[in-house]
Amino acid sequence: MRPATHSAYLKLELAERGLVLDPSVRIHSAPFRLSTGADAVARSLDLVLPQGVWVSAPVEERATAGSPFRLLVDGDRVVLVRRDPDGVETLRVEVRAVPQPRFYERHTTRGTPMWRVAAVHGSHLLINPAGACGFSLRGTPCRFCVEGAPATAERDAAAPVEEVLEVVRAAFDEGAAEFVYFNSGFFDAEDGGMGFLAPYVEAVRRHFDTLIATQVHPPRDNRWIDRTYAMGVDALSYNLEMFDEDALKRHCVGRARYIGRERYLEALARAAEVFPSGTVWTDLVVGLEPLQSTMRGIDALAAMAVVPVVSVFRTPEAVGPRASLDGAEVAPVLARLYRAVKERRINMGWMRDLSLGITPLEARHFAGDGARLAVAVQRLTRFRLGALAARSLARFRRRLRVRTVGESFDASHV
Amino acid sequence: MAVPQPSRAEILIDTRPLWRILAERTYRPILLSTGLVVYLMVRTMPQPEGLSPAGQNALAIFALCLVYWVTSVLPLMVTSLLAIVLLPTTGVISAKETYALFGNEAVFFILGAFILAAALIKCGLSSRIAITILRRFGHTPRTLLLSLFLMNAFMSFFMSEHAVAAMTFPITLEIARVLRLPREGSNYARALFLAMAWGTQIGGIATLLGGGRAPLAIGMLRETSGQSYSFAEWTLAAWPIVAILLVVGWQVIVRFFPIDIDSVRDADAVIAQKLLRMGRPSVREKSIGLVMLATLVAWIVGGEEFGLANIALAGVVVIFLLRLLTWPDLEQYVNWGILLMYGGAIALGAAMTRSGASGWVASVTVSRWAQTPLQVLAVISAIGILLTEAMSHSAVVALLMPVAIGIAQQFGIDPRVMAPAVALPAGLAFTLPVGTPGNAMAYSSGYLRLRDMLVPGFVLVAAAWLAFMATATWYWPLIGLGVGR
Repeated sequence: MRPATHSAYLKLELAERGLVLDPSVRIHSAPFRLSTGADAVARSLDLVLPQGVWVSAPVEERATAGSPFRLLVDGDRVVLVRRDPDGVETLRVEVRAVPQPRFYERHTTRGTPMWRVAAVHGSHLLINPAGACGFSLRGTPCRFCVEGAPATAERDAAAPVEEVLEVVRAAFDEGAAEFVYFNSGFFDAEDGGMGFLAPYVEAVRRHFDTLIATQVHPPRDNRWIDRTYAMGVDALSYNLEMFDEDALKRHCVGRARYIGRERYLEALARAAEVFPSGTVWTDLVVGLEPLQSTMRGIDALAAMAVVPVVSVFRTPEAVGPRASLDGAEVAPVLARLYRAVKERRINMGWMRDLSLGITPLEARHFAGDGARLAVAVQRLTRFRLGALAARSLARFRRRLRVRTVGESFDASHV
Repeated sequence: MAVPQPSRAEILIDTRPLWRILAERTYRPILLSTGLVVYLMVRTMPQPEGLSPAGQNALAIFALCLVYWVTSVLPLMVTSLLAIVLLPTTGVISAKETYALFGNEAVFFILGAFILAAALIKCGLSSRIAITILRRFGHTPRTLLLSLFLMNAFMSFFMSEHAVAAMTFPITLEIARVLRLPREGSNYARALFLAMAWGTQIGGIATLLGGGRAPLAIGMLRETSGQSYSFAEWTLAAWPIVAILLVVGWQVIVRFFPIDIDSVRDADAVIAQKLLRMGRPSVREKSIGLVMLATLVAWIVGGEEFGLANIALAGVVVIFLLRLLTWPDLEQYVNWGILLMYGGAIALGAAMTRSGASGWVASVTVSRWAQTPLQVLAVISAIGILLTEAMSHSAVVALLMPVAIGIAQQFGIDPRVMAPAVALPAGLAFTLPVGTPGNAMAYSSGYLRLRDMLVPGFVLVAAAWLAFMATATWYWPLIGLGVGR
């Protein structure tokens, strides 16, 4: 693999190969943000690379022992060092280690540790009120999955809405996250899980001025997609994971068996009509299907105005070994990701701060394009005023687009 | 945890380009603001010569209502309520006078007519009459079409044309369905729906019962000049136009859409089945029929002596005395809002005339375009017939009547002439689906394209205007409605 030349490349390598924590990190006074808890198969560390690129780098010792990357603390600076097999240092770059949120140490009024209710990934507060993946419960988890596969004996009931609100309040108060990201493990419902999430979404919408993303499964009835937007969800994902049908059946048995690739595509296409440009996305796992297939998927999704996000999953030990990805081989896929989204004029600004996936805008480096306008607009939304404008526009758009049947009749003067 | 379900209220996501939605949503505030600006401009402009301060205020309110009535940015009745609020507050007329005008006889006549029509519909007598006519005469494609056309016209002599259209639309739709007429390209289907829509409109102008236009015009006439029409006088003035339009309308329908089917046996069978299902007329139907008949006779022979509204309300009381209708039944069928619209329009019209505003408007508009009484009539009727293509019939009357009364005073025309001169053309909208609910229903059937209504409708509109002018010129003087030359 070539030495990393830009942050996106570095993200790709770090996500794939992980990093070794230098002893200087372990004695650092402020604990870094590590993914924690029983749900995590491989522990990972959130870092912000130059140019504001977030990455969740595995730090599990057994899995990353051979990694060329080492993280160390040098005075006040946190430094990422890369060495080649001969031990020659090929890269030394200052990164920002994200401190572990303080609310992870706290408990809710009901006594639940807050980290069990929500976890911070990038600038998103990830909440999975159900606590379990429906496919896992049916014995058909995705083979590469690091979130849903484990047993969930400790969580036998959904988190109450009040408890979720308490944790969101705690996370926002300390500035640990900007957005709320709901995940539902339900797939075997008419609504794809949105009915379950609705009270949570509505409560967060009522109490906080924030943008809400949800990751659910395609509902059986497209009207649930409309309702999802109407209830206040700003960004939506139905994760297809892989485009190739055979690969999907092989790696994502539950998705292929209970929902099917075609339904994912249909629902994504409808969602892209309903939601603002650039807010409907799906992950495509790179490396588990032929790269050509991933590229076909990128093209097909972009043609539907859906944003593909390329994710690199480290393989859980339980699933068995997997050949390492060659960054040089993946680079054309990521270049295609950027170009396809750009050609379809899909807004690239909404997808940001994803530590577990490479967004189209991050992939611009692979295409050799500065994408100055998109970067500038995205940067604007990081400022308080820009963020306020983004939220206000999202609300305004919803007010314009959402109508009830009664209103429609009134407007038609029938 | 018991998870509450999201609201199942049916949500629609408007996926059209945002600029189009935005334009549509801002349309209303823009129109509301436009009305307000027009109102303020007229109120604050230097006082024109010949217009009193009260007249200027009345004119400003009229201009505001003009914008809101034409654009329907507010429901028609709400605009009328706005006029009622503004007339006393701006000092045009006192609150006592305003609300007294609201209690005009015309409003109560319309109320009575609505309730009697509700009784006819509720007991099923109106459907029975419609089905019986079709069963009796509609055995061939031509006779079925003609029966439908004439039946709609005939029913509209006695009931609101909108109610007739609403009643016969499902029957027409079912005829088209059982005859398996294709949605595109079927001449017979187009002819059926045009016969339904046009028949109701032509019949609707024949008497005071076909709609609210005529009572509204008479009410405004009475408040400004003290003159009126009896039931028979109105029908006498209107019948030549109705007769001419029934002939021309039939010709237009069959020439534009030559009959392209050979048999209506299937439709005949369906109509026979419907009649069979109805069974024998019930006592309730017969009783309501008798009350209706008695009311009609009373209107014709005693309208002038006892008052049209009195007779209508007496008919209503009898219906309730005999327990032929209950109040909840009635509430479903009576358009209470339209009564508010008429009351407000009458008050505004009277205020315009009393303050001299209508005369002033007439002097700066129609009086400049027309030199003789006949030309005045030609202009007024042409404006009415054009406006009604896109506006509510009653709104057209509300707008034109005050101006027409003013013009009549200036040209020395008998003000009585102006009531039919405004109300008759205002009831004839043949070209656009928005012109009247009957047209909208016909268009909504899916058998008609816009072009199917536009071209033949335009021919009929031209014929209607010519028929009106011919009637006004040569026939009205014979019955004492002298227009003058």
